[in-house]
Amino acid sequence: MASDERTQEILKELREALIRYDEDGVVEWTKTAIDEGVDPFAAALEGLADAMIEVGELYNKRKYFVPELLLCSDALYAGLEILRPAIKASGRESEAKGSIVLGVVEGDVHDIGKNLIKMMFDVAGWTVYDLGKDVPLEKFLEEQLRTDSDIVGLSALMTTSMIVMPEIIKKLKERNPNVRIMLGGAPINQELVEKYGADGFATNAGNAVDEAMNLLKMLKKEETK
Amino acid sequence: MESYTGRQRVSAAFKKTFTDQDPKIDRVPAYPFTGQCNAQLIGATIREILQDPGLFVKAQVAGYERYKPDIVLMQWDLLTEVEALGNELRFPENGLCISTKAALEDKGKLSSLELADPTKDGRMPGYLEAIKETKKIITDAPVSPIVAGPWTIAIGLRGASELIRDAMKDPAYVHELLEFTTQMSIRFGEALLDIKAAPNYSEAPASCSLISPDMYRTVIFPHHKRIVDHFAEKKAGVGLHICGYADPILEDMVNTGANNISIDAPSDLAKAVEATRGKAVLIGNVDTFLFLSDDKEAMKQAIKGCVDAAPQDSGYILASGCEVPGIAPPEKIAWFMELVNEVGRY
Repeated sequence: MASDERTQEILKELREALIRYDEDGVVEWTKTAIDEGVDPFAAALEGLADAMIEVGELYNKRKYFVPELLLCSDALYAGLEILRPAIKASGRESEAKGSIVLGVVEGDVHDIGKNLIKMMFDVAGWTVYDLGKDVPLEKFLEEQLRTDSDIVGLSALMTTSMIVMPEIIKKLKERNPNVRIMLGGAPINQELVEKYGADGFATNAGNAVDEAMNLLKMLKKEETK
Repeated sequence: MESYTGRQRVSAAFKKTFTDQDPKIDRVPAYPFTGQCNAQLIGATIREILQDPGLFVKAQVAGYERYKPDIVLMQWDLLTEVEALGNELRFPENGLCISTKAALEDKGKLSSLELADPTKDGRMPGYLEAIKETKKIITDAPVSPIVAGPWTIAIGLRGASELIRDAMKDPAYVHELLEFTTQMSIRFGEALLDIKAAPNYSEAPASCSLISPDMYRTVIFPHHKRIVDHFAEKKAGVGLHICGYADPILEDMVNTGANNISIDAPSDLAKAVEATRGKAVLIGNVDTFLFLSDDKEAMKQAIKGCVDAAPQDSGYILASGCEVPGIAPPEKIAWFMELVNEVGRY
């Protein structure tokens, strides 16, 4: 069992490795954390998740751009992959904060934004069901029903593909009026969200989770009324 | 009032930029980027105009007749080159084509990839034919081609995430790939020049919305410069369009030597005027969402904002920031030139 001081040192190294998108460093310090008895939860939350918050800030300040986010994402998942079995073995898996079905709509293969959003939800402790790209309408309906997810996130980069969104939204709400729909992608704005009957949208990966949390809180309030 | 042709207005913008002349014209030269949205004018699908050069010509001519732009930008799709190089594409009925299999999914295949011949391979000859035909029909306005730049072709061949990761982790590979795609861009550009249509290069994914300014400068810029220098030797000017947010690289875009720089709505037009003045004709940057919105006043204000940001002597061409959405209703596209005539007068 690592001392408090050593634990803090390991977590700091882990955060710094992730922020400088050093995948090997993240793997090395995650293994060190496990070997030296650092709580895997702390490694995930105070190490990786905290570092991702800082990465998000660097992105917002335009110090980091999508390439850096992609490599941070690779490093993050390399660390999480090592931590997950340890978290499971500890028997202390926390309840997920929420669940979301994500996908890029049919006719569109631009999935970098969706993948970055997925990473932010993963790190925030959500359960993510990722349908990938070029996803037919029916798949969103099936997956939402199968998983009973709170939120469905639809992404599109091309205007010609985003026009399928209103139909997906209508069908999702017909089958499950409580589901909340978030939209994402360069052409999306508040006017479209309202026109299409969705509930919210994220302008970037950084605010997607906050927006989802707001939708979830609204949903919970409505349920308790 | 004297009436001017699109050709005269556009020529004035170039003269204002590159000479001491300040030719009088009635209003700011202007055009919306229309390609796929013109399909509806002839009752065709987007798939049909992307696969049948004759229908593409018909659609573009119909767009010219309906909207009367000062430039006819021959906006097709940006996967023509990668298709000819071996990508497999799918053509949705009413959407842009998408790659279903990338030729360099296995990056090792680069060494066996051969350059495509624009006069023989894939839909490239069809595009050249469409330019030739449209130039014969439309003579009052420049008919301007737009093809994929080297970074766009490389992304098509490798995939966006893959290429960005390669650029961070294996720059030597990306350099080699861009050497190849630069040759492809030059080859297509030369075929266009052969039919007297100097190329414009679209580098939609080279903006800071997708990559970092540093990646543009170190990885892409040298290839852009090479292309511009290549055509400068032949006394031909080329254009460079970058979608999304490009403020941090505006000076770099100008330093390529491209004779026209086209920017999208997220970029700052006033900054771009500063960067391009006397060095390149600036084109942009009305938000393409306005072609979908019901708010005509918002489009008017956007056009007014552009005209205010770009002084009359700056050699500026007002345009949509990017391609007008394929689903934009014709009456809203028509607003654009109508409003330019109203608020873009000098």
